[in-house]
Amino acid sequence: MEDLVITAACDGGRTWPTVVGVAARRSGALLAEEAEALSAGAAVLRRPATSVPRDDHLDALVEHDFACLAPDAAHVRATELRPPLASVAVEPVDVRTSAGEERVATLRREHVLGTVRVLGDAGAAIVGETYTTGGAWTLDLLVREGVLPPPPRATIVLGKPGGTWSPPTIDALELRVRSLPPGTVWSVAVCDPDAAWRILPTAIAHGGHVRVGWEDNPYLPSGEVAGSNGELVALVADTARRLGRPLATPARARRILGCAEA
Amino acid sequence: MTMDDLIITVAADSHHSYPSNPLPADHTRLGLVDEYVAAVDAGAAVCHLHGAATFDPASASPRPDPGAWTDFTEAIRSRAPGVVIQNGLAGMTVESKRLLAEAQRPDMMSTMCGPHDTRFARDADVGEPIDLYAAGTQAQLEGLCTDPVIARIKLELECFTCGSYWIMQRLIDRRLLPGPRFATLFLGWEGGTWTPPTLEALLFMVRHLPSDTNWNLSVMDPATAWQLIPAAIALGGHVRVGWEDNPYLPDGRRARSNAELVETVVALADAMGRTIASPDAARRIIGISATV
Repeated sequence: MEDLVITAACDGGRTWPTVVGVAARRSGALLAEEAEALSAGAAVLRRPATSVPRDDHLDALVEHDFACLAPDAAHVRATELRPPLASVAVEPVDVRTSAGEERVATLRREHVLGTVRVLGDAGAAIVGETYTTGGAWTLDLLVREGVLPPPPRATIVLGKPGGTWSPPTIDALELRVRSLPPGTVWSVAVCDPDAAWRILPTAIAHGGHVRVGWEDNPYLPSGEVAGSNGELVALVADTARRLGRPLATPARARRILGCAEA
Repeated sequence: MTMDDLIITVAADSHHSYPSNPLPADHTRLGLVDEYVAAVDAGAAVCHLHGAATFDPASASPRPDPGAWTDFTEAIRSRAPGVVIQNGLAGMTVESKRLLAEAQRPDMMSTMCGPHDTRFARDADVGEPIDLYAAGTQAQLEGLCTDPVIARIKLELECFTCGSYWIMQRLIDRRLLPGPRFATLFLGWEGGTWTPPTLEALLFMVRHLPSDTNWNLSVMDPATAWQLIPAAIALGGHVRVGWEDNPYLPDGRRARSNAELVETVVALADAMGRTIASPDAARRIIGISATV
C-alpha cells in the first residue's frame, strides 16, 4: 500500500461560514493554519485557484482547486500559478454552505474536457473532484479520449449537502471506489460531521488517501469545533499510525499523485 | 414476504437515446398508438410518453403541443381503458407542464430531482453523441410541488444518482412530497450523473431510498439491463422497459416491438412468482385515483 497522503483543506470560510467564520480566511491566519497542518502530518495543501499566489516557503505540495472554472479562466490562472496539482469538478455540482447558500453548476462536456486539457498543458497533475458515481464516468471518458494520462486521480466527496449528495456511509465509499476507472488513485473527503470520523479509518485501511480540514468538516469526533486544522490532521495521522500506514512526505506525495518534479 | 404486484412501465417514443427508433416522430401517426396499446395488452400498466413536443431554444427546454399530445393520449386511453398515463420530458418548464396537464390530464408526470447530465450515444453509427443537461434543483421541484395544478398529479421522481434522495428528503421533511412516492432509478445512463449498471449500485440505491417510496428501474445499458431486471423483480421494485431505454432482447436481437420487451419481463415475473399489476392495481400501489 502507498504511504498515506493527507491533504489539508484549511479554508473553511466558504463552506462553513457560520462555524469557521470569515476571520479565518485572512491570509495570515490561513498561513499559520497551513503551517500547523503540515507539522501535524499533511503533505498537500489545498488552496482555491482564485487565491493570490503566496511565496510562503512552506515545504508542501499545493493542490490548487480550479473547481468549475471555464477553460479560458483556468488558462489565465494556470499561467500565473503553474500548479503542480489541480483539482477540477468532473460532474455537475449542487451543494449548500452551512449558511444554506446554494451553489449549482451545470458543466458541459466541452467545459470539463477543455479545463482539464488546459491544466494538463500547463503541467499540472489533475485530481477529479467527484460527488457521486457520475464523476467516475467523466474520468473514464477523459482517459479514453486521451485528455488525461492514466491512472486518473480522484477525490471522493461524501455527505456534502445538496442535489449531488452521497450518503456518508461505508457502502457509498465502496461503490464509489469500485466505480472509478481501474487503478485510480483516490482520496476521501467527508463533509458530514456525524459520519466523517467513522468513514476515514476504513479509507486509510483500504489504500485511500484522506483530505481533511475546515473546508470539509470543522468538527472533532467529540462534536466540538476543532481549534485548528492541525488538530484534524493530527487525528488522521494518529489513526494511520495505529493502522500501520506510514505518512507520505510532500516529495513522496508528488510521486504518488503523478506531479512533475519540483 | 408479501410484495406488491409488479408494475411494468413502457417507454417507447423517445428518439434521443436510440435515434434509430423506428417509431414516427410525428405523434399524429397511428403506428405510435398501436405500439403502446400492444405493450399494454402484453402487461404494461403505465405508458411513459414523450409525446408531441419541440425544443424551444429560448427556454432551453421542450415545448409541448397540448392539442396533439391530448389526442395521442386519448387514442391510447380509448383502446387501453384505465392505463396509467405518465408524461416524460422532465425538463419542461413549470408553465409548459401546467398547460399540458390542464389539457391532457395525465396521471403522473416525470420530474427532475437533482442534476441531469446524460450522453446519448447508444446508436454509435447514427451521428454524434447527444449531450443533455438540466439543473433539476430543489427550488424547481419545490415549484412543482406547490403548483396548484401539478401538485394534484403524482410525480415520477427521476433519480440518476443518490443526490436525488437529499432533495426528496428536504421536501418530505416539509410535507411537500406526500407518500407513497414514486421514484425511477436510472442505471447505466452515461454522462456526468451516471450510476453504474451493477447489482452493487442497485442495492445501494434501494438501501438508501427515502421512506414510503415505490421504486422503478430503468437501465439504458443493453449489456446489463437483463441482469438487473430480474434483481429488481426479486427485490420488490418495478420495471420500465421499451425502445427508449434498451431496444434489445436478452439474446441480443433487436425487439420487433415494445410489447416483445414487456412480454419478456412478464415471463420472468411469472417464473419468479410475482404477479403483474393490472392498470387498476397499479393505480392503487402508486396512489392515484381509479379514474381521471
